[in-house]
Amino acid sequence: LITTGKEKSDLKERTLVVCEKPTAARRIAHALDDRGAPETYDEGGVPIFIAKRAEDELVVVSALGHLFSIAQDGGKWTYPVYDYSWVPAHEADKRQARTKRFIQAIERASEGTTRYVSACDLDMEGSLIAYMVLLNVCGEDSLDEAKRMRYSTLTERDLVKAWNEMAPNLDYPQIEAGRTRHEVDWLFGINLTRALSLSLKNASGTFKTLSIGRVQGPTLNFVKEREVEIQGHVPIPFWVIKAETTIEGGRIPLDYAKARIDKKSEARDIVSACRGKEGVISTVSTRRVEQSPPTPFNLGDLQREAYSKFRYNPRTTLNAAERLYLGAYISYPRTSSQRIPPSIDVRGILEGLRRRKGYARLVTSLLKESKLTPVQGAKDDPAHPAIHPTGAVPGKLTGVDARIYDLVCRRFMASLGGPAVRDNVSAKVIVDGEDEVHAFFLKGAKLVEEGWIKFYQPYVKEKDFEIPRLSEGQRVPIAKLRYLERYTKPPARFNPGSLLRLMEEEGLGTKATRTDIVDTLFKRGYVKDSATEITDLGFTIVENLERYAPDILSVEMTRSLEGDMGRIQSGEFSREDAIEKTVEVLESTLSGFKAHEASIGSEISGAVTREEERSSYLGRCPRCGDGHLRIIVNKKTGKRFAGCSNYFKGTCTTSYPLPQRGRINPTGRACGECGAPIIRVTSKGRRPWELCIDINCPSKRGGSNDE
Amino acid sequence: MMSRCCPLCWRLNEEGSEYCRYHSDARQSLHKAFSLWRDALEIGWEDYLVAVSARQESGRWVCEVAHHLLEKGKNGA
Repeated sequence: LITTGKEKSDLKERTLVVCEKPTAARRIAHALDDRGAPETYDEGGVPIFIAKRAEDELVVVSALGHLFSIAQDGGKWTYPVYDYSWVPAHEADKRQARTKRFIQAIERASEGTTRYVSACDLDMEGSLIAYMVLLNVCGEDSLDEAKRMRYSTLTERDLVKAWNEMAPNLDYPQIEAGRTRHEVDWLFGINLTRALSLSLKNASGTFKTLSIGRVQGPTLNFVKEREVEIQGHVPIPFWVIKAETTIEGGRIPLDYAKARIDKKSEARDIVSACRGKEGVISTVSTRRVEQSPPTPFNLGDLQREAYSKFRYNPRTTLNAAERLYLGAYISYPRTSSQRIPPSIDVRGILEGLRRRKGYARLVTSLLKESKLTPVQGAKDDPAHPAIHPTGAVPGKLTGVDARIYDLVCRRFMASLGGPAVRDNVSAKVIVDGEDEVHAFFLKGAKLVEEGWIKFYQPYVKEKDFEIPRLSEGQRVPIAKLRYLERYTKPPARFNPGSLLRLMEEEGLGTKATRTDIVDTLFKRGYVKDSATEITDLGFTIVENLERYAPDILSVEMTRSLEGDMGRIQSGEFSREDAIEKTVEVLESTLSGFKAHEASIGSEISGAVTREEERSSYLGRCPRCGDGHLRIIVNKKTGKRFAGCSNYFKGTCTTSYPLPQRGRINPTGRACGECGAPIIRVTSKGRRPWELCIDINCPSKRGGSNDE
Repeated sequence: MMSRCCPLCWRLNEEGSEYCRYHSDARQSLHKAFSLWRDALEIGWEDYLVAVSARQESGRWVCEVAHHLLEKGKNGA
């Protein structure tokens, strides 16, 4: 129903309800309207909802995330900058132009309202969004009349409950902490980013945004330190002894008692001493092990699990979880909690999930239990419970959303299951060598009770390996005896999930900001690939900060600021003190930076050039043999092709056309058929594909490369 | 005294070393690990350097130093 919204109301009070996003506003308006059908009108492209509740009229409006942000007070694009104000986001950043219409719409819709409600997400950001809207659009007096709705799901039941049990005031400690976080991060970000970017510009004339911040710095440093370990790794050889035995017709692996043998000669001697011998089972032991159900997800756990099961990066998972939350299918995802409090109607949620075909059988078995208590994790969040389904059954979900929803539902059900019980069997097999006795172990496991595992399929791997009944004194043949050479490996690179975990463990950033920080590292070209490999540019930035601004890489400094933020929330520290402390750190850092700007700029410029050269280098020219093939962009047409570096010497004219769409990454490999480089092309929405750049390559005749 | 560049990359040499800090650390690690390789495989220094630089587990800086040391050995340095 579209109305002008200007009709005079006979109702007693008009209350402005400020929501964080249009989807949330729609849900809240529907939940609070007595008939479940609020009036809707369009105010310059922004939806406004009018809900009738008893004798009151609720004007439900929406922000679009932050409508106000921080901007420098005058001055030039230089550093240091310590003067700033909160301004409409569209004034601070042209890319936020859409937010202007939202501010104007709220301004109009708030005419005649006498009461105000913050219905934004229940966290620091949500509290700050509503506060800034009320302060800057409705005026300072509106704050005295403002209340706070507190909810964790967008289901009608929770929203009505939140309305009836509203907090009488805005949550000022949260707002103050949120405001401080924005201001501190802005001060660090703007000053350090300008310092880095200007050092490059002044040294080379090239402009490139090189950002760094108080969380980004230590995070990038973790990646760099890991790279140092990897590139400085010397593998050490060792040997493992493997064998097999056959019992009742089945082959069972045997592991030598000593897992790692440091000398090849020793490994060889063991194998020759045991070859052709029989072993005797000296002991058989069975140990019953209980495996507790997993805890329900907090955001970090969900992101890691989604990476591990589907290779979704944290941003993809968060976006899907937010869509599911806005659809009222799952609870608020930005939570640290691994706990489901008793106030949550677990049985009601399960009743809802039972309507979904794939879960009916599982839910029915859970509902037979007289008591349903989810396993509780160690981490808690005062504002929100662990991520859980609401019981509202979505229609057709596809792609990422369907997978994330399934993961959340199954994890929730698993957390209600009993422990899984396994019998681990271990038998010691003795082989009498010529000079000494050698021991092997034969291991098996049998799942005795499935417990929670049946609810978490297919996301848990069965590790069972059942073995026949064994008895002490039983003689078993030793077959397939061999020693295998192995080498110690360097530590693995971080993946986006493991990097998030480390940030969480080290207290860097918040559940709301960590994903953005990792995204920024990729966006700025400091890290690349899913293995989060640091680039030359990222490495050089850290090296320079290490030398001239080590505080920025310090986990302690960031942790101390996070602690201050916590103390602001509990009223023990003030925003002013936190800002003063930030300025002090920045003053000393920036003065050191300024003094070495030229050398920092020249090092960074070198890294930028090397990075560009590396990313355009495809491999050796197969025709002339000594030239290098590089990606070249035609300045007139903007089209790219591969050309030989010897073209400029006039000795080779080799060139190849290249795909014009997608990102091209050199693989470092040459085609086995024609010797031309193989490239990997990555396009949005497509699987990366590899191809030889020579369109006349014999491998491309008569079928695909896969054949 | 003028600072010199590491022969294996663009960084400045670490004081008292012919390499930068990363290649210098890699050389130290190579020396430290040699005794383990020698005991394990009864292998000489040069064969060790060849073997290390051929392993995919070896770090890039380690391989670069191993190659450099081998070349220096060939040139009688």
